Amino acid sequence: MKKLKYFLFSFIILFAFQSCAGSKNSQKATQHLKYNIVYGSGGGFTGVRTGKFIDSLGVVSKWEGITFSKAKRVKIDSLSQLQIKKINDYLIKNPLDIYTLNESGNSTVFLTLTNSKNETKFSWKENESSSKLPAKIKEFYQLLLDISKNN
Amino acid sequence: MKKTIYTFFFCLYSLTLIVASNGIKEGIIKVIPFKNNSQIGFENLQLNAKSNIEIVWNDNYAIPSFLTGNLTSPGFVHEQTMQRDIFSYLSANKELFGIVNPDKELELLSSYKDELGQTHAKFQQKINNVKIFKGQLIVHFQEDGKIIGVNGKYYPTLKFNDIPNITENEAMNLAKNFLQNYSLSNVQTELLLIERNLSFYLCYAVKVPSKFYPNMKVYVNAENGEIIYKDDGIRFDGPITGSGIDLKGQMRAVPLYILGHAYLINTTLPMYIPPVDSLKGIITVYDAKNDTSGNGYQSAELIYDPNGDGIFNDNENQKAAISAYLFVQDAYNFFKTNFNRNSYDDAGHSMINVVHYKQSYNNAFWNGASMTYGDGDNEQFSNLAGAYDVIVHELTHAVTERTANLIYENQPGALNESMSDCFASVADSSSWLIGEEVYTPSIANDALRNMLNPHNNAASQTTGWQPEHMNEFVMLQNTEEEDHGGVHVNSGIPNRAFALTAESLSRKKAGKIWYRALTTYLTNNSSFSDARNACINSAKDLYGDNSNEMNVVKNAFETVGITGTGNIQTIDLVYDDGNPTTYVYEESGNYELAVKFSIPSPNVTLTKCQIYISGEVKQGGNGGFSLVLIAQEMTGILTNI
Repeated sequence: MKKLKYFLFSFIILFAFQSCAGSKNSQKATQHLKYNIVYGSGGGFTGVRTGKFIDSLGVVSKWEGITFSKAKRVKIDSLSQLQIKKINDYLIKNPLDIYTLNESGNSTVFLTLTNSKNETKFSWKENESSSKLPAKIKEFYQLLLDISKNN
Repeated sequence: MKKTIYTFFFCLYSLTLIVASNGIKEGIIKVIPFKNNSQIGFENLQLNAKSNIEIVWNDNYAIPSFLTGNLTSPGFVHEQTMQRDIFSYLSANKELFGIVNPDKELELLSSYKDELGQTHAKFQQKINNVKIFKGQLIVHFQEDGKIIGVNGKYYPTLKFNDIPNITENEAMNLAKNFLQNYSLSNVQTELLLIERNLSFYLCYAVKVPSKFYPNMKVYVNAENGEIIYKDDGIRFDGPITGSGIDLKGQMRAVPLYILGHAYLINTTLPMYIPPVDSLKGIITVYDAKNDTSGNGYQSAELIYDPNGDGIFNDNENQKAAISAYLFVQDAYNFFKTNFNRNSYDDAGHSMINVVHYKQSYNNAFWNGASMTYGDGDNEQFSNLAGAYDVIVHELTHAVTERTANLIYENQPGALNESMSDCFASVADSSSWLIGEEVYTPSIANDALRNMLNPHNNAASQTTGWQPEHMNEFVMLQNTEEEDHGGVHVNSGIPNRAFALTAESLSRKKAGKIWYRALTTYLTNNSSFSDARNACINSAKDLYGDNSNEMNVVKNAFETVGITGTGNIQTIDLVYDDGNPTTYVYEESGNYELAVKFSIPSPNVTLTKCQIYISGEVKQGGNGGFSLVLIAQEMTGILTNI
């Protein structure tokens, strides 16, 4: 009987400790994007471009059309913490500011990353080969498309 | 005991053989070849021969595939009794050739006497009147009647069940379904035994002749109805004229190229350089298959006629290909006839087109290598391959790239766009509207742009509207969001200058003047003012100093406010690279916003500068606040000092 009491006591202590630790975890600070991100594509015969802007809080805004002033962005979604982490992790692991890619053309794809220090801009032709497009930029662009494909 | 064990294993082995023989794959028929004794047969032949005999064996069936030497004495074969004498020889050597009843199994196909006096008799092999498709044998004999050779791909006498499971009519229907919309007429069937990879198939050869494929045959398995293969009967590569239905539903004649399949490859234009597989000087079309993965070109495939009848009416997807294909041919001829330009590079470069790009894609573009067209969503646009002016517009981008190469931003970019509209309006001279055939299909008489009236019945600075005078020039930044300084917006001004010139002279004359300006005077950074000077000088070159044409051009540019000097310059305001920038960003847990920019050139003054920023405050997850920028606007006039 005495042994059973000790066992129950130990179990309660252990459970309480774990609960506290879990609570501490849940108070972890919200993660923000390291960059403001603008991406999209368009031009061509119509001049219509479609783009998205993700701010540091993960708020996604979209614009579309031929613009006559700074594009009017409409909020469409917010990224989850997991999605923000995925983007941050990719950019930490694969710094893109080492690349230069500034192609102009009738129809282009664009990607801009901005933080407090730098603005890194890429654009490339909507081309079947896009041989000048570094694989890491292509991969990151695809990651953005995948994350926002339902928007 | 030992005997019992042997018996057991023998039974097991026999059982295995029985199981194996019953496990024949479906559709393959069981064939038992005559078991000839080739060694004895060859020894007998050598015994009777008067000289050495050379033999090449068919190892699969232990029969000769090439036998030469003095195989008989002279006088063995007589011209009048040739077949009987040859059959007699083959029958006498049954152990070697494996043909049990030559008179029932061989049918004379042809015989001819050559310049050496040798006669060559070719026979088709058959069993119970079923042709063995690949069984043929040739017997060669001299003028003196001596057999000197036997060769061919044939089989020792085959035994098989020659009763098919399906009827001729069923086979015809199966062939028809396989060829899809193929119009069947004069269809013939023939029961055959075909060997493929040492397996035998009883099948119907269904001959389905058509205009372009008179010898088209489909081989239908007579046991299970499967299609074994198709032979279009084409034994040549080359151009033919086919037909196809375009996006307007009209049947059009189209040049095709047979290269195994009938492809939409145009080799009929002066730019074509053979051979076709070098792909020089051709027009062709790829189907991107509405693939949205990756860059949209992942699944692109050269378009060909799937049923091989040379008529592109097999599915809806072919219509856009036919329209694009024929419009590009017309566009090639337009530049060749009017400007003696041989393709966009003036050196006969092939013109590659891609249709069905992405899904419901409301655009068309030149990507530096190909002209690409979306299907449209049928609300904003119908299929963009269905408008001639769209296609000439895109092709002109390629011409511009290979000539003035106007940079795609600000005024040079707007000139680039304008050139494309100008030549589109010369080629498609039905109106001054651009894209009217594909723009908002449910609304009549509207267009994406109007060259003569750039306001296009739209409210100022809304979709469809363009400025028509320099006093309406829209100052936009050189960013993707602002159309690289409004290249699709401000093109309305030079567009109107062109339209006014053409209205006064003719579209053809205006086109010649603009073409000369594009190819002779403009450089990659030319402004509107430079374009004015280039066009005036082109008119002067072509029609003389102070000619009516020259004055019309001068007046047209003046009417739209483009003067020789002192035009408004579009110069980017450059954001300061230091900290902070114009964006909202997080820095050490704080959020900051600042606007700081500089004018790139000291020789420029900025007047009437207005900066407009608005946004909403959002609470961040860590208790801080951020200003979410939803709009920023900057206007100003920069003047060269």
